[in-house]
Amino acid sequence: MNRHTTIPLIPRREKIMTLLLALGVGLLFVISTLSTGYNPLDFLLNMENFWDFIFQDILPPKIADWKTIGEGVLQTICMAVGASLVASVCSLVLAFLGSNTTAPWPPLKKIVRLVASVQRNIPSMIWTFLLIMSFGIGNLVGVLALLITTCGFLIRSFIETIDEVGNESLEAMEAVGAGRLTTITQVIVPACLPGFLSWLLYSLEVNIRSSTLVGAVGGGGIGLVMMGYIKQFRYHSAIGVILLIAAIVILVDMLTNFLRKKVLA
Amino acid sequence: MNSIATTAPAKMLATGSSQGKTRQEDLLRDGRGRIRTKDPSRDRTLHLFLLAFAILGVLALVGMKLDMEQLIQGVGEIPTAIGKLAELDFSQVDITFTSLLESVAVAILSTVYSMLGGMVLAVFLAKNLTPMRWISTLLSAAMTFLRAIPSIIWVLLVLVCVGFGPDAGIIGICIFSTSFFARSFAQCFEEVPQETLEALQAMGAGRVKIFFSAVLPSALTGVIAWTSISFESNFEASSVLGTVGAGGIGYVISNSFGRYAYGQAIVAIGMVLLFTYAMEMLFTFVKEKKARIG
Amino acid sequence: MEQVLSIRGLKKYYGSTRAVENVSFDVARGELVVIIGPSGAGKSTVLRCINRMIQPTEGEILFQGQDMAALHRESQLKPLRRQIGMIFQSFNLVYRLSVFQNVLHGRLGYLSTPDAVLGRYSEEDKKKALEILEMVGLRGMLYKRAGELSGGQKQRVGIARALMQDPVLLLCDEPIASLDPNSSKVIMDQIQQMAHKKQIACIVNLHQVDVARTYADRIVGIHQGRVVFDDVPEKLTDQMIETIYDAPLSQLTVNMEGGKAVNE
Repeated sequence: MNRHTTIPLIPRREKIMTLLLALGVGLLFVISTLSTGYNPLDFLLNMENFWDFIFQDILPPKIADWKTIGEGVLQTICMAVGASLVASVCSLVLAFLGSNTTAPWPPLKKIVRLVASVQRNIPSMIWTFLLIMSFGIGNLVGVLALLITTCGFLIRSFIETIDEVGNESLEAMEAVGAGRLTTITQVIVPACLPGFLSWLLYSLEVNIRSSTLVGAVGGGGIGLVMMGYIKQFRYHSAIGVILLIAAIVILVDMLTNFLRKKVLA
Repeated sequence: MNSIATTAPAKMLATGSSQGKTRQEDLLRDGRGRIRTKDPSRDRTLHLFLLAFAILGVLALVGMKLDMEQLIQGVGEIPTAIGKLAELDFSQVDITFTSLLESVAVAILSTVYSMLGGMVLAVFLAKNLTPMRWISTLLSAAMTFLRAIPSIIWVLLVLVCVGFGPDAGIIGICIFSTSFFARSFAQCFEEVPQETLEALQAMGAGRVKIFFSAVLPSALTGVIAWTSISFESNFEASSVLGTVGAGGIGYVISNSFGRYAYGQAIVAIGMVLLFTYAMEMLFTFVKEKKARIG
Repeated sequence: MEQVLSIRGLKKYYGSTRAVENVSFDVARGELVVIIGPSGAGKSTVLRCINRMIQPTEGEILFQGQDMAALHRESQLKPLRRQIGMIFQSFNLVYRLSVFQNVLHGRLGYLSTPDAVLGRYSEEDKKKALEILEMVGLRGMLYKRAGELSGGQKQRVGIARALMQDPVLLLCDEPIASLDPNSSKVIMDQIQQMAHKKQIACIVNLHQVDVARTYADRIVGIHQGRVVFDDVPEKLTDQMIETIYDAPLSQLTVNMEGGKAVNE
């Protein structure tokens, strides 16, 4: 029998590609497992340690000092909202300079994209370390670190939105004979506004989460309070703060989801 | 032209509530009787939201009592800081590279394990696949809670429990990432049209068969997209978890800063940047290629 | 003639809404029965009660002598369902998969679960799929994604998939409602061919009375969940059509010429 008797279910090329991909992922998985020596069963076998830890060391949660914690929470929320506002304004301007459809000067487009890429590809906690060098510890550093990463993220997202919406309408407007600024204000901004808002809400969610982390390494707010408790081995208090953070994150997510439905409908 | 404006008071027209009027009277007018080009009530919520966001943002910035002096002084310090960072120090480059690999390995393992776990949970979470509604509701609540706590905080907690090493990182990131996968995969599964599932059910195929032959292939693009997003965020987490006391490249970075060895720190940060940038390029490339093929 | 399906006193209530109110008819081997009636008359509900995608409130559905309505467990239904093919208005294919894979889905009911999970179809199944694809004129599209096909081609994949099941009975729910006139003709021709050449009993829900007249061996008219007509097409008078659709014929003809559904 020759090999043509079997009818391939999917084309040969596709099959080889899929196999190669699977092999690649498998190889990476094996190498990673060997290099870290991670055995998932270890954790499952030592579950009793884990339960001991949960029920003795961390539960029940305790809110030790309402005043400090309340101030911390407020600081964290302010950091997130403030950073989102400034970042959205900056990103809006920069996105128009960086988008294919609206860029006034091509080299500037490249620069904007590169800067945005550096901004978002360095984690906000590392930005915090870098900023502490010049600004010292405090919530100022927290806001700036969030601002930098949010800007990087929003510039990319805004550019994508503009490029998606822009091309067709831009052609139509050029045919009518409208200038660049007219096109931006009359066509692109209205068309992109829902997209912008959706990204803005998303960045708000992300910032609420990262503002606690940025705080933990010196950016102030509730993160710093939590880190303090952990370093002092006051786990009951730490878990109280963590649950509070979870509650805030859930509330903000619910709020942004609500707004998404309400505003973008 | 004037006759239109005089047929009825502009104010009344602007409300647009009257019925059975002539065509001309459907026009919306502003306060001075000029014809509006858009219906202001349509965008009202949107504008209201933008205004509220702006006010809140300004209040937040003011309320934080940011130290303006510190800001100005800090900006002045930036050149000095850049000068310190610019003295690149490659003496620790081998250790740095090894810890980068460790961070990558942690990211890979946590992505693989949480993807498998998330896939299983997603089947029970997706409203069109779950065997029982209450399981979906219960799981959804649990996932919301797990996702509300950032992965770094999970790592911190696990670290206290299992001790120093990559295990804490992997488990901690997995907790967050699994719930993330479960939610996003469930969303992909729910997008598969109910009629397609119905068609296979009508042929006598059971749940398992339907899942593997219709749901999974239909959701594949989404599954791959979410996996790449999750890998990126898992690497971000694994690269910084060293700063809170676990291993990986984050430890090298925070340690270098602690020793004022800024030249070493910036080399490590450069490596993180290069890796994430390369990943981003790769995923964009794959996405574009995929979009071309369809 | 050998009866494949007999429906006796079928009822389906949704709360106080009566979707199907006492429907009875028979379908024989190789017979093409067309069900006509206005939207909301319960045509789709009757069809979906037959393969128990919907649980009927009352009545008997005798499929090859076995009462489908009396079966409740999924495991009892599966072997019967795989002998009943179904074709849908919206095709309901898996659009990301190839034409070949979609057609082979018709065998899922016969495959063991591990084979189905891994997509291991037997060579006979594959050969059979090729033959059927040849028959419906899609042999050249084998590895194309189902999503890339035109509406008419998608429906042909739907027919091929149903044929893969070796069905005894074929249920077609508005098979040509989303197609242009040319494709509609191709699809109806193929359904008729299956009924007459392959001796498969076919039940087709249609909106278009003219199409029903051309293709049906027998027409069942449903009005407000009841059978008001059950006979050969030649006996379907204009007056009867007015009764079924509850509207004067003049209004109906205009709608039909526009290629639109006859409703409201």
